[in-house]
Amino acid sequence: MKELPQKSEGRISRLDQLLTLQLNGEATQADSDELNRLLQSEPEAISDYVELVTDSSVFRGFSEAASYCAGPGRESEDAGGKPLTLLDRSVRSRMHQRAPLAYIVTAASIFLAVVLLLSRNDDNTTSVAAGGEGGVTNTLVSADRSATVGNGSASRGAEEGVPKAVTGEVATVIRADDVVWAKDNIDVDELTRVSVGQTLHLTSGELELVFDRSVRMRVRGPALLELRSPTEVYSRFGVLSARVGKAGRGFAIETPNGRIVDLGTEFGVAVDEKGSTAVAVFRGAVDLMYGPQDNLLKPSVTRRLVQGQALTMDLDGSMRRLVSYDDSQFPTFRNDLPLEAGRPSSIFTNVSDNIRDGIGAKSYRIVPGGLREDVLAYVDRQHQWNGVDSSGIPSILQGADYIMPFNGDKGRSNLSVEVTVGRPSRLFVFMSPIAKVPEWLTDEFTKTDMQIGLDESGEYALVDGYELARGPGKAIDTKFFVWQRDVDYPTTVVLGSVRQARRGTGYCMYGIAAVPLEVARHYDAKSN
Amino acid sequence: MPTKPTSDDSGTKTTCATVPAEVTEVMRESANGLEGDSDHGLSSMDKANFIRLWAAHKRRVYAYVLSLVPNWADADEVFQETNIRLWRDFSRFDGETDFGTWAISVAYYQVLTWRKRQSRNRLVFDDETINAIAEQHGNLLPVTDARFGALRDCFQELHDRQRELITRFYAPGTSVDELGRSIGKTRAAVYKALQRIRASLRNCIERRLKRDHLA
Repeated sequence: MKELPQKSEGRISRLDQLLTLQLNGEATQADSDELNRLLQSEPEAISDYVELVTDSSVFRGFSEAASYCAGPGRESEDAGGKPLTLLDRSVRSRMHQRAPLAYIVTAASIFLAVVLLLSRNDDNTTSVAAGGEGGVTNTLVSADRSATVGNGSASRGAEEGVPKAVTGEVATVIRADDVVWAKDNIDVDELTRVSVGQTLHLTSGELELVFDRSVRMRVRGPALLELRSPTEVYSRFGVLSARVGKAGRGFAIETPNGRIVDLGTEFGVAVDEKGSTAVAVFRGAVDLMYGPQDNLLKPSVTRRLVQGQALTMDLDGSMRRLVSYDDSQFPTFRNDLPLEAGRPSSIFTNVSDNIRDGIGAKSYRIVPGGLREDVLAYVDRQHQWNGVDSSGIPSILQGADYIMPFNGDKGRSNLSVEVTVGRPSRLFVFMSPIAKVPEWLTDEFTKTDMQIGLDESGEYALVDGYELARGPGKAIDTKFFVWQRDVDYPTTVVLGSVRQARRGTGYCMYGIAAVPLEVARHYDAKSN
Repeated sequence: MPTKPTSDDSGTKTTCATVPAEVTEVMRESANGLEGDSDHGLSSMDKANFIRLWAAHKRRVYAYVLSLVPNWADADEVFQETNIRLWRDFSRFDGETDFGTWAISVAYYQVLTWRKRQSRNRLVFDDETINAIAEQHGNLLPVTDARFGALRDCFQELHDRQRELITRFYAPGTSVDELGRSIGKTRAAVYKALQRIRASLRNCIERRLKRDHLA
């Protein structure tokens, strides 16, 4: 159930074996499949794998350093200065025949250094040493006093040699799905570099960019963007989502009426043709500032938004809560993309509650066709829905539309959630076994035999052991009971509050999902 | 071309009397390829800076590439392309940006480019796993240098024969069968011995990192 984040020597050892086979080109398809399964089984496995690869690359470096310096027919000293008998003749000769690319790169680096030094007319003392790690040999060059490198000259080098401002390419298009470019925009293919000052005007399709400064951005057409700097994009209109790594912190999206500054996060921005800006934070936090481009108001009007919050900012600067949004409004970065991501939900047309007015900023998220393994369960937590065992999420629920509510609402005694259903549907509620079953549920819904698992993240846990795992039946912390109700015509269904029935972990907010009624009935017929 | 003993950035002392003739030939060809393609206005100082920065970060970049393309030959190819791309684009590098971050991002594109050229059955990982691995490098970054250092120290603590086996096993082009024959062991025994050595190295690294409060 709860998996402690500890190192497993058995797992590491097997990973090591599989990695070694891969590196040497000796892995079978079954080995590759097993490696993938291991890596996907739990987050710790990826960490172990990266460490093992890093170690292997260092060993390769040790080995190359030794063999390079020794050369054919020579002996070298190892790092400890002890004699090291190198490879036997047959192995060594094959090594040199192969002339590995890293070896060539090494050589190129050395030669480059030499060319550099010889191109200077100064009275140089040249010292080229080879050795090192990481598949390429180190090159240290001592030139004249002003050009000494590798010896405390970093700052001077930066001052004198490296350009300060980036005016060129700052990002790469890594994906362009069904993109139709506007007539005023030259086509930009996948893996094209894009530059500061460049405009991207697409009338449809979806584009993915990776900035050199650790920012990944998805843009959905119609959209008009301009890259203003390595860390700033202007969005005239359109929808985009950005995922910002540590090195990209501070990345900014400017819009006609404001500016969104990343604070280490994943967020979505939608700018409509009139210039209103909607912002939703999926993880982390952003600062939202109001103001025309050259006259952003003082930080006092800055609004900080955190995970689960979403606001619309009108041209006059007034901000309103975006009560709910669905995945058609913002591209998502989740790898487990819902099959029907990008289309609005035909089932849930609105969600609202009696708690939040226009002042609050948290928003329900509707995910069309999105219920599957490892999807986020709540807008304000990283908990995930999963099958309770290896057979996975019950088949009728797979691919269902679902709503991400607030786990923080589990303690509200007067909660009333209004879910508007736009077509005949079967509505599901997932209820924690720790909750006292409320009357609104027993009155309107029927308890099924189905269960769905919640894999809790440790973000708010007071005890260790809440680690997310990938796939069904892994690290399931609580098994929720599934209740259902058929809704024969479009209507608004009101769901109420929950209370904790007894002490224990696993008391979380209920989940909400739905499938079209005809799909549910077809499933019933097949099951019977 | 005279050279003298120095240390690389890992602190591993190497002794090279001369650069072998076949290497200088390769150097010339490779450098001609780089220089001939474009000098793109780099000053001598730019070139020196590039060499210095690359020397400081190549180890991390190679480990990164190898984790995403877990095959020596393929990783070497991607690594070389990354090196060339960095060299070509160095005039656009902003001195205020962390070179390592920039190099890793370029390496990532080169991995994607390489993956596009391959048939699906040659790819070990799907996109999801690739992203998870790439992300994990960022998470481990704070301890990466410490781990390199600990590994280097632990490597020195191995017995001579253990060190020799590692050195030979990881030499480019090594055939495990040939290696086994040369030391009178079966292929399985070579792998088993290697696993044991690596396990003891891992334990040693963990101990050192824990001692330094980094694990």
